[in-house]
Amino acid sequence: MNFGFTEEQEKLRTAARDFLEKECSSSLVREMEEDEKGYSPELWHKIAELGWLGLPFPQKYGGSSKTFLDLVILLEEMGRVLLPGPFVPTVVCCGLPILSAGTEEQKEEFLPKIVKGELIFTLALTEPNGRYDAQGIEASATADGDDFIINGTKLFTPYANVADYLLCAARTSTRKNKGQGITVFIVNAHLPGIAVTVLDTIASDKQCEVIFNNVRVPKGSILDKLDRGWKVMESAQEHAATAECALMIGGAQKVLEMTVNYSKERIQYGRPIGSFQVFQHRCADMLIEIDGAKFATYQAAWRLSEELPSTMQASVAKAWVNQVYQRVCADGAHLHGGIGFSWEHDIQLYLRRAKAAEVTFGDTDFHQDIVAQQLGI
Amino acid sequence: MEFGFSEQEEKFRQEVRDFLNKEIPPSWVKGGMFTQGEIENEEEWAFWKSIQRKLAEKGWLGIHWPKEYGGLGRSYMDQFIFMEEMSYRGGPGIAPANIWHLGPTLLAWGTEEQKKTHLLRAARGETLWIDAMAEPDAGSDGVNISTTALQDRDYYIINGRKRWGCLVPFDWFLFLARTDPDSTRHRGLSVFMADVKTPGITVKPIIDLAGYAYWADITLDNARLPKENMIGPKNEGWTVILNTLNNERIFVDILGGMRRTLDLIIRFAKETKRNGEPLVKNPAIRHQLAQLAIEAEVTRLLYYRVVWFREQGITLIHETSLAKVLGNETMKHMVTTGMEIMGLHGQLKAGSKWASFAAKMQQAYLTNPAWAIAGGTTEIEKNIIAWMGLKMPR
Repeated sequence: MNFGFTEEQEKLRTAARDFLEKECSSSLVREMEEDEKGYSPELWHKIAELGWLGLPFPQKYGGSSKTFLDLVILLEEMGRVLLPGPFVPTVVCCGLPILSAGTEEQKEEFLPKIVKGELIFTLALTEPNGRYDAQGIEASATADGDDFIINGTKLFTPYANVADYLLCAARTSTRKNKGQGITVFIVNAHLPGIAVTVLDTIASDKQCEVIFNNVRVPKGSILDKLDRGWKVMESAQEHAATAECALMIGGAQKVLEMTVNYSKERIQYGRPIGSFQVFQHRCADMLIEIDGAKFATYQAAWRLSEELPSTMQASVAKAWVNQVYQRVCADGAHLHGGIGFSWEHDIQLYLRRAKAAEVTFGDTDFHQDIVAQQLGI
Repeated sequence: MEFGFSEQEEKFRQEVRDFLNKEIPPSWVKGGMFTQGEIENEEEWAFWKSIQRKLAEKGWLGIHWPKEYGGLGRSYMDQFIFMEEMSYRGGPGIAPANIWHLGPTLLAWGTEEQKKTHLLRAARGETLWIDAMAEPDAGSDGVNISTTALQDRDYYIINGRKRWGCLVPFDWFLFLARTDPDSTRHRGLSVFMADVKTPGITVKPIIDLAGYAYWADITLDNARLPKENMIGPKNEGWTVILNTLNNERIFVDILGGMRRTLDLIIRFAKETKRNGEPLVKNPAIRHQLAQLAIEAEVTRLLYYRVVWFREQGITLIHETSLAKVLGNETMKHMVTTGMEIMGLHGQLKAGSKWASFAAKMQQAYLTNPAWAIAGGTTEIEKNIIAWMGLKMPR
């Protein structure tokens, strides 16, 4: 057991924090909510130059061969400032699956460009039924000579409006076991037949409807094997859920900090409101939950880094962090009094994103179900 | 950042499990955190003592104590692993206060003589200790001590009353007394150890709501203790005992009890049918069980963080309090949910022809409330977290 980070990891965190504090103010976050693209290409370019997009990829693709846990440290800092942009979709949801399941050809074609910031990827997984399990995949891909024709609707696909490529999970054959018969395709987002519409969502975070209308893709665009794609998606989901947790714990810590700082400045009844016991106890509750959330997340990330079985730990983390970020934002906003429910104060930025993060890559119910399965019930 | 155990630690854990599987019949384990608080007759007490003897033979009564004092000189992590596994089995043979109070206090502040005498005897299974910190008027306000200790040449004459000591039938106890009659609050206190057989010391059991004589009321009436029974410097007792109190809050034993309680609830839900289906098939119950497992896992991580800090010699500030609050809340959630799931049958005490193995749930439920008070109430712990952890203004 070791509950500390290495010196190198601490340096990574400090460098990330300093950079993001300077480059990603809450004004930028607000600006991007209204922006057509939803992210700053300039900032994306700087992030690429820092090597962040290549952190978990091998050096031969231009990356720095760091672990998933190292990436989680970066993500925590990004979550702290609510960095807008397709980092997780590109690197975690698509880059890592290509790394683990792609052919050498596919890896060489896509990974170096991802690392350099030249390609944006997103994962077109969920559909109007809102499910994250294999049964939720209704989009179809029918064989036609050397190609496949994809038809279907994907919903809640992040940053499809700016993506160059989509990983698309579609059903290539009907089997009794719905987990089989799904194939993942690497699809050029500008192919004819693809229509993207940005949805208006609570976090203004560029989640999209993506309609596939007779989209023709070559069979070389299959990631891993025909009909065997769900395995890839399961692994992608565990990584993505854990990545989401990392963003959430970053945000939650920031909310607690804001709340404690406010409590020291705000004077009522002749004393800082943070000197009242109820206020203190509610903040203590938040710290307890957040510390638990941090280590549950790091544990999942560590197991994924070590390629140990991680399904239980990833779901424990996501279920817990879902509950914690929600409560911390709600309590944090409440403890700010009136300004806590204003548009002007920054805490609402966290509160709205907490809701989005909670349902992304599995809500609490979904993960409790997985934990129950893992318990043998 | 690493969340696995070393090969050596895994081996040791298995060694402890093998011993327990061999020596402790499943029927021994009752419901509460420490089964020694639920001993009902001489036969059970004799069994408890027999396990204590076996543990003493293996050197397992002082795992992380230095070898010269009867310990094995093993790591704090090994000590924790041992206590976790022991508490899963209801912990017969172990007096937690030996490990968590006596050991830390004497190791940090005891003279060579004191360490050699008392730690060795405890490690050999000859003495059981408790700590008696609270008084009728000194609960959370632990420095509101009115027990006095007047020096009379080579002795101290002690007068006072202690309440809420954990009543294992104990031999010795640690306590605070006011050695400076003009002092107040935390100043002028000293730590003493006393043999319960000392004339003037009487012990009365306090029955808890589960019906067990689990706690003790101790009266000291002109009890004469040799001055060698003082631990640490005179009038500096609060500093001495703070170290011990920080240890007590860890209450590591909670993890084993937590896992045991969860296993009990899951087993009940698997084996019990309602409307022809096992309870675990009911999604509401299934998800509640998952939630309990999630909370238990998060609790486990926070307890292990405390152990790691101790191993690394990192000063603990609020981390122990933080783990304890979550541990207590998780246990409360667990015993409450367990009783809910059992419905009418949760009411049955063990021994009824209608009671199943699940009667232990009731014992867990009734003995649990004490643990959110003992060792530091939730409210005090939250104060510590806010003041020391978050630096909030007082």
